[in-house]
Amino acid sequence: MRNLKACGLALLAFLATMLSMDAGINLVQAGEVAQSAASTPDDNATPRTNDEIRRWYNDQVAVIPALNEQWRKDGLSVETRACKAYDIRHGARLKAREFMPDKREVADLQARDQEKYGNPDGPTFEYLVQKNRDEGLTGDEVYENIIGSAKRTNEGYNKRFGVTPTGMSP
Amino acid sequence: MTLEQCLKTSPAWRRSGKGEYPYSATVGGHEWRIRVNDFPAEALYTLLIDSRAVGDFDGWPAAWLRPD
Repeated sequence: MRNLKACGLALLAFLATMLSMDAGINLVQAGEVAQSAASTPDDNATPRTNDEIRRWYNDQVAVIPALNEQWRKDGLSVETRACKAYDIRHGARLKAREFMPDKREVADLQARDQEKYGNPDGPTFEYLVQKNRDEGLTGDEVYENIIGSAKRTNEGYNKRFGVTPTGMSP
Repeated sequence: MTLEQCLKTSPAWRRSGKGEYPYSATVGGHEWRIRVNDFPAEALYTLLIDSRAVGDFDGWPAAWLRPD
């Protein structure tokens, strides 16, 4: 069983490293945005409506492709990169629920996730791995698909709402 | 009916007991259902009439009474 907490700590350590090195403005921005998922919701940038929360979430996951490229250059395995991408997405999912003003809507989401994934907080990393295998993916495809799901979400969102995420270069 | 028209009506929503489709109502002989989506990656709710998706929305409409 993968230790997701350890995976999350590894991610935070990586982001801290990224902020301390001269890795170019886009990746510094990416680290800052990704790290904001773990910040407290007490600042002026805290999203307060569901529309704002959706935009905030989109910004959080939009950094994953750029981070993934850096992780690849750093020699991280595809499984580790998938785990890190999952952590960003899952952390943003939970933080978004903290931001939501109507807790009855949060309860609706948790009931949905419990029914769909057997977990009120959404799919686990293990669930996604098994789901991909059940759908016929093998080897690295299993993990590349987990990394790529964030990019597909962004493309669909951006196309629909005409959004350019703030964490990405134009 | 458009989504905008639907959002202005007052369906007698009832709980279905299902996670993904938690609310349903009968309006003019048609079955209305609410689907909960993968928010915030997707819109929070989708309205379906007779299993056809009418539209998405991100918050419970003010004109709709949420069942206990």
